[in-house]
Amino acid sequence: MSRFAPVSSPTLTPSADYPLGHSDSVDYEFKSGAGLTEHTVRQISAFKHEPSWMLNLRLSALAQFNHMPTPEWGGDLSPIDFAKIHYYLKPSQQSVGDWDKVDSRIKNTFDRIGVPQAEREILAGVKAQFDSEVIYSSLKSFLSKKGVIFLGMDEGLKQYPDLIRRYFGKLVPAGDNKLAALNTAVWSGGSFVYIPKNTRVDLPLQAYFRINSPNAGQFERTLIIAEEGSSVHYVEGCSAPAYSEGSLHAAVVEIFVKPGATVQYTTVQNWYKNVYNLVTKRARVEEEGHMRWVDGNLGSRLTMKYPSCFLMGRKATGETLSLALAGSGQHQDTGAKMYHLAPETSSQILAKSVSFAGGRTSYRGLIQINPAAAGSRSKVVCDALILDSSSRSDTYPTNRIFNSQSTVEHEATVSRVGEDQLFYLMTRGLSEHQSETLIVNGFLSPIIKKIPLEYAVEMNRLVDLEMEGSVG
Amino acid sequence: MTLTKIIRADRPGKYTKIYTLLHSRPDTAKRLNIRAIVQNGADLTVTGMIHILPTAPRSDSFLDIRVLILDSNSRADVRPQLEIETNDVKASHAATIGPIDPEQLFYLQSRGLNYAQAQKLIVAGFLSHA
Amino acid sequence: MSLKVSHLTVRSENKILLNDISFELKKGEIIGLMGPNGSGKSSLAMSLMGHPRYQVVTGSVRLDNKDITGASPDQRAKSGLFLAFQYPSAISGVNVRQLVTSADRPALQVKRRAQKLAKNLGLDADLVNRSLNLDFSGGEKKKMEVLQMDLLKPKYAILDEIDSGLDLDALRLISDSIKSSSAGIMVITHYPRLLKLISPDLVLILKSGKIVKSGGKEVISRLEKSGYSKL
Repeated sequence: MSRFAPVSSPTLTPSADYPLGHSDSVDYEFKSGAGLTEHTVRQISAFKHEPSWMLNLRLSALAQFNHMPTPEWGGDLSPIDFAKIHYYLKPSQQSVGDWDKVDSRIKNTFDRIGVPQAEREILAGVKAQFDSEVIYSSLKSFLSKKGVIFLGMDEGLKQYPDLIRRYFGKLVPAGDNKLAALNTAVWSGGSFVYIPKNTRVDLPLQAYFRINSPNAGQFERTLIIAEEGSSVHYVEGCSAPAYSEGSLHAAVVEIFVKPGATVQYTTVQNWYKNVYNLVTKRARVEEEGHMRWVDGNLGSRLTMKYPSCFLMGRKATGETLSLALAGSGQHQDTGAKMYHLAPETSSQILAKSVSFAGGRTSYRGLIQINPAAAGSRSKVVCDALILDSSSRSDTYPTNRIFNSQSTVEHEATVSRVGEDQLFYLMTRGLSEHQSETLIVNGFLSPIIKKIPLEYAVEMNRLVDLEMEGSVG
Repeated sequence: MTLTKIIRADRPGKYTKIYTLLHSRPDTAKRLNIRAIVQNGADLTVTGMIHILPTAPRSDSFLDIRVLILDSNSRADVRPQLEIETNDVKASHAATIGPIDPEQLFYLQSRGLNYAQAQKLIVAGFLSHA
Repeated sequence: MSLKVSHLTVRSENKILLNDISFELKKGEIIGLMGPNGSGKSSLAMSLMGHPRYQVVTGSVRLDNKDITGASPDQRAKSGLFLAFQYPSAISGVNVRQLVTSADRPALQVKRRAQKLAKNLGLDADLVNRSLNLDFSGGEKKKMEVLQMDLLKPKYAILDEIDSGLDLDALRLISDSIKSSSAGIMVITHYPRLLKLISPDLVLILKSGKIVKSGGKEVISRLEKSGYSKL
């Protein structure tokens, strides 16, 4: 409630006109029936002309999915009706290699989302996911000369089946959790990235997503392999139109960081508020490898996501920077997990969250230092900002230390925007909304600094938009 | 109001401790310090929760958990938790888990104490410094 | 053209903090406001700027004839009023340039001017890029307030104990800033030394929320001789 203006109505819902809300009418070449059956899974695999080992993987994952109960910790998943979701949608557009050949309606969608087309010179290649299918791919010549592979997962499976078979599901097997089983059964789209030894890719590789149909599920599967001494930064960002029926996003990302390699994976997520965003992201880091997750969660009704690192080799490092914004009707249940399984490994987690207008942010994290991980260190910092009295924040960290030569530090603080800080900014001519937005953006800035510029600008703008109406 | 809990997990076996600082009324300040040592094959799980209800604006709460692991047979699982249901509060927690600071050990040894004596002194100081 | 305060009575938490305050600050003039601790000097500064902790019981504040008695702090700022805080807030992740740029001034221009002003005030140029007031020394915070005043160019400025924590050189720099400004400035201070450097047109003494003395520079000398208790 505003302290600086006459008391007004207590409803604090953000702007009703979601600025990215629109639904383009595009024909769908193939849409699976609702519900998850063996028939659906076979249809999907047949439609993609997959090798039989992938079909078998899908079928056994389906069996596991049916056996596993829906998790009861974390957010509330009970409203999800798995029987009502369409698990596969393919717009009528074959993969094209040239931007000009892309269907104009699809291009329109990207314009409205704001894909920085002007930056095409800077973009190394763009994969666009339009309702479960990669419809556009292009790879600049210098990347392919370097031996870098950057394709949609479907394409990748066709061209490099053996390579993919070596890694697919090795880090996140179907039995890991119910949503991973679901993804393994019906996955479609996502990216396949392979960076050869000692190769540095200095431009961020980017991808865009969009959910465009009621009950369309997004089950992309991404696999990144960074060979010894290589480095890459992968960026994913997404938006969805305004729909009232449930949408489910259950993705899996597996990343293999070989000795001495460096990988950063940045996500800016802004799904509309009916989406359930349940993602399993895991990296395996070998000797002297470095993994950094930058995880920005602005949208969705419920997000459950804990990017994790398995530090398998000596001196491997893992870092997660997590940002969460929860407004009316939103629950961000996010965090990170770090497993130290080798000596002299180190990890860092920085989680910043803002809840307002009745939103809820929960940090859930795990640090585990195994007996073999002598001389390891970990530091976790969680800062939560709660903007008003109807909102909520929780912190649930677990720190397991199984040897006597390692140190773990953890600190968490919950605070509010100080009345004095607000007043100070307003005396410089900023309105209460502008002041609060500046303070919130300042609070989030240590993480936003690590995100590529065009996303950082979008994030600041989105924070501004999300918070409009939060000041009574 | 400041509370201190000392935990001496020094026998083989599982130790489980759960503490909660509950704020249900406005304008209260509470602080909980937990100090634990783990040795001789002990397996300690300690949970410290700060829970601030919506009926408790202007609460001021701090939880500090410090655990010393003294040998490699022993382990600790430390869970500082926060559930904050209103915003006009000050709440924070800190947790540190690790071995005795080797610098401190060296300093005492340089004054003539052997390892066991030095450890004893450091542990005594650690447990009383709350 | 003035900031006119008429019969202003202000309350906070059921206590009257300011009683029947009247004065007129004209553009280009300097008023010195002095008083013992607890006299209400800061309360006056904060309530003139519209801090919600203070309620106006009676009276009015008019800026160039515009009634701002009930206006919000940002509206007062936009009308041309500036307050240099006694205890400026630290804002994590926000630097002084962002603050001023948001209030409708182009970023590049702000950057150049801020760096130049910082230099003139004897501040490390890097301070304009750092989180505002976070881990700044007392003197640096005060100079940052003056820097903001120079960037925002208000019509009327209230400086609340701008001299506390400053050494003689800094004091000279700030008094130069004040003297060369075309704004109407109210300088609130506990000690006479700053006022002696800037030669105010009027000196007011506040005691227990009331103005007990008003006059020219002679008021300062009398204060130095006999202190507040004799008034």
